[in-house]
Parts: sequence; C-alpha cells; structure tokens
Amino acid sequence: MPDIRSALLKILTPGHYGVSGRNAITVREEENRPLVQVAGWAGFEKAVLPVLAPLGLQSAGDYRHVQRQGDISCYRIAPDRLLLRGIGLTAVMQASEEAGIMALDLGHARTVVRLDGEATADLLARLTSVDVRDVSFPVGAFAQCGIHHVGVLLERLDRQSFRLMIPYTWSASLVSYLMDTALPFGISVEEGMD
Amino acid sequence: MIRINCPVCGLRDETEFTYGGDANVKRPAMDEKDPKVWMDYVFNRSNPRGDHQEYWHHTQGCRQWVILERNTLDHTVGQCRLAKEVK
Repeated sequence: MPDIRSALLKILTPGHYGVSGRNAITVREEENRPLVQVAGWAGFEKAVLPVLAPLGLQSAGDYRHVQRQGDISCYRIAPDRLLLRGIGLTAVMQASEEAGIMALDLGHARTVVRLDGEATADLLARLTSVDVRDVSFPVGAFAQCGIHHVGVLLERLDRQSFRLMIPYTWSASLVSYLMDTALPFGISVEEGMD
Repeated sequence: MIRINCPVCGLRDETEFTYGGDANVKRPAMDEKDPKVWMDYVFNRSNPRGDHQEYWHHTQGCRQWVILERNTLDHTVGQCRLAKEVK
C-alpha cells in the first residue's frame, strides 16, 4: 500500500484559533485506515451476506446506523452499496468475486476528520442540512450529506464527537471552510497524521 | 428552498440534489423511424402548471435517482420514490 500523505498538512496546523479563552471544538485528522466499498445490483441484500458473514456481520444493515464488529465499521450508503472501514480489500476480495459483488479499495480516497467538543453539533448545524440534534441523530447514526457542496459521510461517535469522511481531493477546501465556520466557537487543532 | 424526503437518506435540502428532468418522458422504441417522434423525445417538453413528476439525483448523498412529485406552481413537494423501484 502506498504511503498516503495528509491532504491537510497546510490546513490543520496545531494550535488554537478563533475566540480566545473558549475551546468549544477540537479537530484532528484521524489515521488512514483501510476502507472498502462493496457494491452490487438487484438482490444485493442477499448477495452480500457471504461477504459479510466472515466479518461477523449478519446483514447489510440500514441507511442510518453504523454496524460495528470489532474494528470493522459497516455503513449502508445505498440500497446496493456499503462501505467497510477497518478491513482491507484482500479480506473481502475472494468472497466478493464468488458472490458476484464488486469490491473497491477506497482507503486512499478519503480524508477522515474527527470533531470533539460541546459546540460540534452547533457547528455542523451551520454546515449541513442534516438534523444533528441528539433526538434525531443519536450516537451510532451516520448520514451522507452535502457540506460545502461536497458529499461527506458524517458519523456520530459520542454526544459531542463526530467523524467526517471527506473525499481526499476536496478535503483541504472543505476543512478550511469548516475551520472558518468554527472560529466564533473557538477551535483547537490537535496533531494528526502527517 | 425545497426539502426532499430521499427514501434512503431522509429529509434533505434541495441543494444536495441535481435536477434530472421530466420523469414522464418515455424513450421511443429503438426501431422507431419517424424523426418527429425522436425530436419530441429529445427536445420538446411540456411545461405543466401544477403537479409534475421529475427526476432528481441525490448527488451529495446516496447518489440514487429518485422520482419526485412537485407542484410547479407553489413548489409543494409530494411523494418521493427510488426511480429504479418505479415501473
């Protein structure tokens, strides 16, 4: 696997930005983990079961909640498509071929950013049309949504923690926009991947 | 702002979608010889005042094509279904 450099080296410089004396949001780029897209055609829900079973997953899941099994996260992103994070292409290649399912390595294609802090939901409410209140977007929920006209996968990890999976080539622009929007809250950048 | 209830992603802003045209247009049979029929199919569209069915693509979400019922007069949005599930 190639050595993937961060797209945010010039964007996320550790330090505090925005309102002084307040640190309502912390942003950090997460390490690059394997990411595989699994896609099929009609009858996908049934066809994909032999691919998921060895991973300990019993179904393709629903469109709103992440399935977790150990280090693996499974996101049902469309009726005939899902994302597996935390497992490499080689682990699902053979089962996919036998099941007539396409598996594609997207590990290089996403920048993953984590947001923590008391104002993260307020920040996201300014960026996306998804209702991120606790009641409608609880812990374990995910949504694909548009932020800054870019398709982003948004996941709630904790009440005050979110993960954003951003297309790599758009991530510098999007995170720069996110940082600007976060300034009124006060934001700290932590060390991430290099 | 129109809000579209995507069958996969739920209620989202129109800005996440791309308009895809009239969903009532039917492609002529491939052996159709009359050029007027093809011209109508390619270029001519009705401009209804009121309820309309149209294709939208959830470009920034699930990337599915949906068929949305929209009133062209007041932008009232009705049912939204996955295009591939509509016969």
